[in-house]
Amino acid sequence: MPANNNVNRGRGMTARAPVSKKAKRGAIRRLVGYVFRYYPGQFALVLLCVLLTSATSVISAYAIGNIIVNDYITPSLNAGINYIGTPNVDIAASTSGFTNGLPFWAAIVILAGIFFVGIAANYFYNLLMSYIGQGVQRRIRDELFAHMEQLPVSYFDRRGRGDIMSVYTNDVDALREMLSRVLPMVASSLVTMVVCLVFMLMSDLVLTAIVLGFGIVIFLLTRYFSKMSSHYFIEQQIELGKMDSYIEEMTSGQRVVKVFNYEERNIEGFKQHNDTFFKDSVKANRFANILMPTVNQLGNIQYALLALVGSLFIANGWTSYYLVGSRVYSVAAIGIIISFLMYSKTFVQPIGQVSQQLNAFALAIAGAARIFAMMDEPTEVDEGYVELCNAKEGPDGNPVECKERTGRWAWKHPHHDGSPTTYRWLQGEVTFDHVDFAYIPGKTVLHDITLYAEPGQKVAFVGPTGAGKTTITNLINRFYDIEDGKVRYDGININKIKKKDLRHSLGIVLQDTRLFTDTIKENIRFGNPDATDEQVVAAAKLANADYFIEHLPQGYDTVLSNAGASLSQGQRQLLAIARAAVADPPVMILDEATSSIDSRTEALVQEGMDRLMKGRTVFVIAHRLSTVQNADVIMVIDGGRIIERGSHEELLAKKGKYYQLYTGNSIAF
Amino acid sequence: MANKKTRAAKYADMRQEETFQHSIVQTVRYLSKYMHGYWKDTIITWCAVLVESICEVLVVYFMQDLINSVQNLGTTTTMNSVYLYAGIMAACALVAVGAGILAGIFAASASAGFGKNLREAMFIHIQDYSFRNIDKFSTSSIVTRTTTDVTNVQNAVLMIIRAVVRAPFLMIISLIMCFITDWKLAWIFLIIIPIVLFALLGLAKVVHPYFVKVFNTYDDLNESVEENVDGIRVVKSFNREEDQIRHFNGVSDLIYRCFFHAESIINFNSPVMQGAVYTAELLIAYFASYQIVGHHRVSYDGSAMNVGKLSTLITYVMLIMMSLMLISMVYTMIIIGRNSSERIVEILEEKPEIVSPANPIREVPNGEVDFEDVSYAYVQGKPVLNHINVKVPSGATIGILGSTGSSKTTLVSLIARLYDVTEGKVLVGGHDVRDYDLRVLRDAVAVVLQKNTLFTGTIRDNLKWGNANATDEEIMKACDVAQVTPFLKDMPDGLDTKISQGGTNVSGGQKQRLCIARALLKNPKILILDDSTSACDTHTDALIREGLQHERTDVTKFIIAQRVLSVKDCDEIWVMNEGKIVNRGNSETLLETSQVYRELYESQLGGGDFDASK
Repeated sequence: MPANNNVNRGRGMTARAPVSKKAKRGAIRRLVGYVFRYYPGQFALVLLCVLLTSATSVISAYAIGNIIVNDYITPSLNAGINYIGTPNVDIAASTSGFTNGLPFWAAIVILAGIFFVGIAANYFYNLLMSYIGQGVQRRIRDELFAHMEQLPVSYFDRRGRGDIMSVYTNDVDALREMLSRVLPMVASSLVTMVVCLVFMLMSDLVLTAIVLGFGIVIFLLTRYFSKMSSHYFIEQQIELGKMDSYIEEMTSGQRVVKVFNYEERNIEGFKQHNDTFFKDSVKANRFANILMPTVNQLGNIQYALLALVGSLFIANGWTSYYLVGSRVYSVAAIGIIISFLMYSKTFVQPIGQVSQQLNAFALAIAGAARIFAMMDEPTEVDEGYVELCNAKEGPDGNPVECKERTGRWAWKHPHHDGSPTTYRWLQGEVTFDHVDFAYIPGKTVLHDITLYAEPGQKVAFVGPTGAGKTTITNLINRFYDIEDGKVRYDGININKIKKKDLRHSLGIVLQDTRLFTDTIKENIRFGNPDATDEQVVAAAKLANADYFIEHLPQGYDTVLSNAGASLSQGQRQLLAIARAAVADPPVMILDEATSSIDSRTEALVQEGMDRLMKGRTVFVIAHRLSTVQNADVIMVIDGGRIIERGSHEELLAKKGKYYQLYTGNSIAF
Repeated sequence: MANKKTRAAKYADMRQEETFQHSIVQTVRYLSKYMHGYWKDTIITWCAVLVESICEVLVVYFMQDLINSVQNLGTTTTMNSVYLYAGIMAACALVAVGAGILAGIFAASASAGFGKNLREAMFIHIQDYSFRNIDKFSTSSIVTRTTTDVTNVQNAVLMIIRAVVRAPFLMIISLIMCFITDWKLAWIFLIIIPIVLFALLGLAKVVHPYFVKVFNTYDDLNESVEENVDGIRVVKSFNREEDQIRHFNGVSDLIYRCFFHAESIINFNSPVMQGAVYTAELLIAYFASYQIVGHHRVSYDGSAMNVGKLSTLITYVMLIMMSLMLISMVYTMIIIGRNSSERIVEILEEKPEIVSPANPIREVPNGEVDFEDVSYAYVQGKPVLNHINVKVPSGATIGILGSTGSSKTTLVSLIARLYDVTEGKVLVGGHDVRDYDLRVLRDAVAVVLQKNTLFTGTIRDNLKWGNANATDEEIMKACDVAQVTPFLKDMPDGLDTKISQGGTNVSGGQKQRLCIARALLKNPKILILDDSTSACDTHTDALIREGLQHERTDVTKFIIAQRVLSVKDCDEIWVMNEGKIVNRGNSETLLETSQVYRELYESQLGGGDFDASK
């Protein structure tokens, strides 16, 4: 069912970037590497079992002609001795050489035994292949995800969500398809064909040549048909994407459709898409459909041809050559031709199957190459060595490291020059010293940013969209590394601080709240995995989230699915505040939401934010008047520079950009 | 923390067991309607498949004669009979190829045609949906159902359409041929077929729930990835990478185990088939050998068992097994396709809630609106509008203020009958809105929605939604009133400027103004602006209101706004809270009677509105 597989693959697969030949070769090597590294024994067993299975299926073809017909039936017919009906008459010598001296029933029993081994081997290798295939997939999946978690934020900016998602959905899926279905099938097909070929070569060279000729024709035909059909499948897929977005657009815009009575024109538009899709679909399936009947019947035509040629050999008494000798067919050797006819079928059958799978194989390799490319992306670099530690106050008021939790933290700063490790209280002082930053080297987006926040101070950033407010806050927690200048936390250059500890000392509430599929409780605990239930509830109360949580059917144990889609924007913000509160860091980065939430919730959010800010150093990207008014210092950012700074009153008196923003005369905001 | 590991398993188990509203027969009967126009293709397919199957069996039948001719070459047969039977066999194979190709082609168009009909029927039906109908499914679900699900069913049909004839026919003919070839041996098939069929179908049935579970778990896995891609900043900020990896590994492991389990069941398929083939082969060989040798001594005529018949019987084994495999595949397809078809039938069977009455009124006399004791509840028992009683004369301008959740939008949506009241009635021009033809009513009521949408196409295409036959002159007039003209001048292609999907290439304020122009082109009797100038600056907002006041004096206008400034000059302002109009009156009156209004007024017009221009 190639059709099915193609269609079910994720959308947008056609728009993916192509993968180079070299990358594909590398991908195959690495993929095979997984199998050999983790499952060498199992894989060897698989090969053995495949061989057994294939041998059995060839033997079954061999047995009918060479053993049953040649060794028993023909001699019985010719010699007039019933080797079959008389159980204890031993056969003197057999043409096949396998059954010397065996009574007929014993031959049958031995064959049954061989078949049973074959069947058992068949199941066993399929099972092992599932084990290996699924195991390799799990390993790759896990490694990929673990690696992804270590990638820098800039990677996610660069690649975009859809692109990354499709590595997991399309590429890992293509890999699954290949490892669990295509690979075992191809492996057993190839082994069967090889075994079959050996038997054929041992029987008759001319007839083997005919079979090989047909094999090539079938292979080429299948390639052609699959190529044509996959071409149209891609067309169909593109059209499906278009139809998809049409329906999406019209269904989500259904209100507009209704208020404008647009239904009929809408249906006309849909019919056009539907019709194109229909045409592509017909073409794609046509090619896929005519493949199998053609291949099957070619096998039959080949069969007739082989019988004919074989007969000519018999009738004319031509010499038949096989790999290690030659013979003239006698009536007695008729079984050789009969068996050959069966090998030919066994040989040709997998060709169609294998060549059909080549598309899936190519797709999977391209997918694997993309997976490995992602796994080769450099991870976040962390050369920091300053750590956070629990501390208590020493006799001189300076911190002294201790094991137990004191609720107070200190920076533990070892020195490269051999001088003793120094300790400094974690206080939350942040300074920017002539900082420049560029996302892309050479294209500086922040110029000469200098600012100073003492512990407990509030710094508000205002300015038009794209001015660089978010970028500044992203530098503090080292989502990006600065190009020039210095950022210091409690006087320590943040490049020297271990990222984990730096981020531990910073809280963050983003404009767009991200929640995870889990209970509300766990979502809040996200801020601090060690928080007790009491601390979680306390944080929710501080954030004003307690009230709505208590009104949910399962309270704190309510499971949020779909990234909390069932909650309102405001409620999600409250949870984000609670999450930051439970982390309880000395420095907070807040990005106030711009989107309108209802005034009641807005008041709650505002209050929660205010409580969260209390006693902390805060960097806030401000949109609300009250936030700005309460800030110790306001930075007006435009074009990546701080263009004005001061308190609300000072800036208003200046009548500059801030005044413009405040009075609402500027629409650039 | 200990429960972390099982988190994935917990949610996987929480999913509901699948239940079906319809039996398979009902679903098939229901969906077969959509084959219309393609029955011809279907029947041609069936005929072709029939011919193909007959030829395939004939191929095997003549194979027997061919082999006998080869076997007895020089004794009872000559090369002539070899030529004859090889020729017949090849001819049959060629006919089978032809028929097979024919079947393939027509099956492709029949199934694609079926899919096309089905999609179209669904899309047309969805156009009649009310919002409540749409909300029931959600947009993304509707999209999946009309595309992915239909494609799944279409693929199932593609396979089934041929297999439904081929599998039973091939099996029956082969069986008959076996009896004709040698009735004394054919009993072997009668025993093996039911056993294999039972085993294959049993496997398919047993394994299905495991696959369902696997794919559900895949959804969880993707969700986990999606959350981490979207929320990578949060994860990194809170140093939760390891925890996320642990969670992911849990889901990943669950997939591994389920999948392995499912495959270890489905892996029995191939041994069952092989076992059956080998068993049949050996039994036939054993008994046939006895007969061949036995008969030879008595007589040697063609009717008795011979080597040719022996190999023919074995080939029939293959044919029969193939048809059994086909049956099991069809069965699996039906199981898989059933989810999809059920989801499709749900869309088609959903009853549109809001439809035109039998004898509708076809003209709206004027723009008078009267709410008589109106209540509305999205969810039964939880009304969001409570007994609204208010009358608006034709041509009046009403301003509506209130916090989110106070049901302002719901109230005005009832006028265009976007929802039907739960209690009471809404009258437009003196008639209950439910007595109007829907088209007529909605032509008379223009709503500029809060969540507004522009569509892919040019600006002109979008504006023509209001009136398909609008001249450029009319369009420009509407653009003047809606303050579109000032920015339209700066657009490179003017009215022919392309709008991308979702209107992302125009600013929020421009989008709102285009939407107002689009609504004006309808020449409505009632105009509803639902928070539709919020992204415009106050100056533009004022110009629009001024334009409306002068250009559309006879139109009844409802203006929902966040800004006091936008409604200050209305004939009447309603202050809404929790589904009720708590205060009514003009601005002066409200400043005295409504605390809410006074506070809003003072905070917005008293000081500067810091964020107003956003």
